[in-house]
Amino acid sequence: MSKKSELVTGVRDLTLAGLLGRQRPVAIALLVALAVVPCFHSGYWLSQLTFVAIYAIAGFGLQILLGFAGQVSLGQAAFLASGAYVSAYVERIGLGAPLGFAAAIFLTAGLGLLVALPALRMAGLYLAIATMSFGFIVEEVMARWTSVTGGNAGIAIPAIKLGSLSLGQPWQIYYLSWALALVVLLISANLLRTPIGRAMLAIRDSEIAARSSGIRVSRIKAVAFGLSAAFAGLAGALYSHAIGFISPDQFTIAMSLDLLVMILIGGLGTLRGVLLGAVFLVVSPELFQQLIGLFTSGNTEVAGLRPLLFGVSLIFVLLFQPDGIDAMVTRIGEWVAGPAAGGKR
Amino acid sequence: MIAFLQQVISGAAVGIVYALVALGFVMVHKSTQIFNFAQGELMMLGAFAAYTFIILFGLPFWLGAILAIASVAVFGAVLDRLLLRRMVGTKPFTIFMLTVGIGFCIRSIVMLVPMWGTDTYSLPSPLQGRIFSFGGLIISADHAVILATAALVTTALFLFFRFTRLGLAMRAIAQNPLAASYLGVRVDSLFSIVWALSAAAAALAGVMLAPLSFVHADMGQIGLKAIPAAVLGGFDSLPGAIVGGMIIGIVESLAGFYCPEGVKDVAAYVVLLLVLAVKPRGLFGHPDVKKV
Amino acid sequence: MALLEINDLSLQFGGLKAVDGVSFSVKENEILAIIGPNGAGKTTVFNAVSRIYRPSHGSIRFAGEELTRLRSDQLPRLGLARTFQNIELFAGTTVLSNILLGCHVHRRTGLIAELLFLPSARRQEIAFRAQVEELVDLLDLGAYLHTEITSLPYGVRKTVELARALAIRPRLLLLDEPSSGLNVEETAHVGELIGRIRDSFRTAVAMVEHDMSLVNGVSDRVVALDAGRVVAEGSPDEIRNNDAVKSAYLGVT
Repeated sequence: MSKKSELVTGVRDLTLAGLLGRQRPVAIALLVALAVVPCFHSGYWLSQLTFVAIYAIAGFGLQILLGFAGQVSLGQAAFLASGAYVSAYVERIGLGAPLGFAAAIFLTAGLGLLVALPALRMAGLYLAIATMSFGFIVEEVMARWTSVTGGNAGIAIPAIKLGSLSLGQPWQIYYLSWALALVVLLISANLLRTPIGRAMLAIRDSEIAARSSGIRVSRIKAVAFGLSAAFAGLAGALYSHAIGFISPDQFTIAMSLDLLVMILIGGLGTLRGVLLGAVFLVVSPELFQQLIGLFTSGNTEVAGLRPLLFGVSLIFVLLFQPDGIDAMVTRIGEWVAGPAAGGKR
Repeated sequence: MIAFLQQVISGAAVGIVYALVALGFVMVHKSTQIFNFAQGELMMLGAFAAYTFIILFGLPFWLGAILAIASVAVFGAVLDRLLLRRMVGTKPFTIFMLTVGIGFCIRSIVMLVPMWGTDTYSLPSPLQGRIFSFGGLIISADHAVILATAALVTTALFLFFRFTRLGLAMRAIAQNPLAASYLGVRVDSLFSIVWALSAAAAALAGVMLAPLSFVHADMGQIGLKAIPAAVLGGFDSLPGAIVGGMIIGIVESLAGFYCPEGVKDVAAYVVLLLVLAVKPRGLFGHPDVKKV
Repeated sequence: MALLEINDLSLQFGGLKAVDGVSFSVKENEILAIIGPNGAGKTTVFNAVSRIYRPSHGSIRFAGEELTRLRSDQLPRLGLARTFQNIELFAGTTVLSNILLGCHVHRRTGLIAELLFLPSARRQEIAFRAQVEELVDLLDLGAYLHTEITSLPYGVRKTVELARALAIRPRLLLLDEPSSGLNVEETAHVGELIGRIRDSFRTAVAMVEHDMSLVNGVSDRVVALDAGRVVAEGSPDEIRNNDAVKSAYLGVT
């Protein structure tokens, strides 16, 4: 006979604190650390951490589509490009950054819904191929639509202007990116504790059972595509301001693959995995270069190290730790808490 | 009219390259249900191997080409033995991501090898510059050889699968590996042979492509265009892959000639999306029927 | 008034008539068993009712609605739920998550409320979990609540699937071979459970079954199928002594 109080009031994920559970102290420490970084660094590492936030936002989008709803997409870069160019255009014609960001989010979401229409009938292999093709086509369109995108030459992105305020400083972009990343994280977490997220997981695991439970599969898939595109569009808009210059050759299949590799190494299906994966994606190539530099004399800027690092890491994870860094962190956490917890849950 | 035919012929020649890479995709997918994203990289590896044997070691073209194809074939079999064998039973998506990782590694190794790196190399074929002319139509000897080789390879494969015991065994494992193994077919070894053949097809494509488009580490992207070819032909049909490749090659060539700039680069993908929009499971696909 | 009315239902697979002019009904609050040898078309009838198959002929009326015009995901809202012969569960999540999915039909919140976890969404979650708790107590799944499906024994998985179907709060529950894979004690337990479901939730139950002890123990009525046709209909005792049924199972003419 289970205790009445145990289930309803004891359900952990209904509160923010509950969502974090035992990770709360670590999470708070990390938040504080993130908040004070600009006081100590202003150059390279500040911008690296900014990119962690930006890739995390795009990663949450891909996680929702792939990790939750089970829809393979090899074309996320197209949505980032859409977000970047839409916000650049809106700002260029003088409508301001907030509108630019909003347009980036909503227009890209619309693009995602458009892609969803044919995608609803495709699965697995063909969906992957179709999204990959979509990515190539968008890349070419960006290169040819010179009136809007400036073509292959690219366009410079001026600082964000909010009235008379100018948010061009790296630390400002840093805070903006992380604030938005945390909002996106919260929204993604909300998905998992409400019917819509559970429905996505259901579709991923068994469409037949999902339908027989009353889930309208097409509608939920469309939401997944739209949401994932919206987040990617937001990431694209932020990306353009963080880099200061965008061109079509930044939004190639290489970026789509990077995002895919990121959430796989981080941990497919988990939100913490997205953050871990983003850290891996941004930080590890630099560390790897430094490491190699210790052995080779001087020349550390060697092309080919990045794909080697990602390729080997991906293969390693898939063979030996398919649940990614997230699973490793969970194990470490259990080991650390083991002696103190004194028993299961 | 002449110009049109000219484009068709040169398109068909490039299409053969796509067809060979697509053949590799389909061979592996038919037997193992794996979508090998590294197929394009195997093609690139074939081109670099040929460059090494022919230019760096100075071997005759034909010998170098054969050695290149053979070594990449062995590489494909080794990939299967070492890595892919361990993933038997895991989800298709996981195995697909493994091939993505393998592709990354192949590309990075090519970029890191001192003799290769990120430069572009030329690998002229012995027939460079020679042309045949048929009443106004000019066919370069390179293209002619490609078409002839393709006809040879297709015939050889057809005879192989239809009339040899090995070919029969491979068709058996494609349809039902478990039953085949009960009947005494060495399924494991056959999988390695499938990977070797698929890699060989990609390498041959690389050798043929090299004189046309030079040898460089980003060649694998051209191989991705073989995916529309495979889907067009029906992802499980070998003749379909050849036909699909030719169609994609010809469409591309015509697009380059008649359409505005840039359409040529994405023509293959536009065709693919059009096909999938009408038939979401490929031209000859069957709907997934799950029995409950 | 009958809850489910199947009239002259026919279903063809190529040249094979799997279901041929089947008619029967399920009344409110009754427990109906559908029996018959393998290949008689029992599960096919279920699949037609739950709209996985499209019948070539005939009508299926449930609570006044003609089902053949509807999609399978529209049935739970009408109050129709089912379990599957091979257990269709969501393998990647926990027992709680699976059962909560049954509550999906009762969802009143929209996308925005859920994305922002507004108070309405929170209240709905608490209500859902209270519902689930009732089922968890009834089916004794408390120990497994946060366990992943993949590590559960077969019998527990069957129970989870049943819980998910019940979370829909159906008026009619279709059970496809509820006792398959279970031993004698577990089967008896299932029989008792089915009775309790009918009594506490006022849910009618239609089950495809092979286990005659379960059929005789708990059903109010039995419909016997053979080669796609109804050969007999009546109480468990009547069916037990029916010649047509005997010949269908034993081949005695």
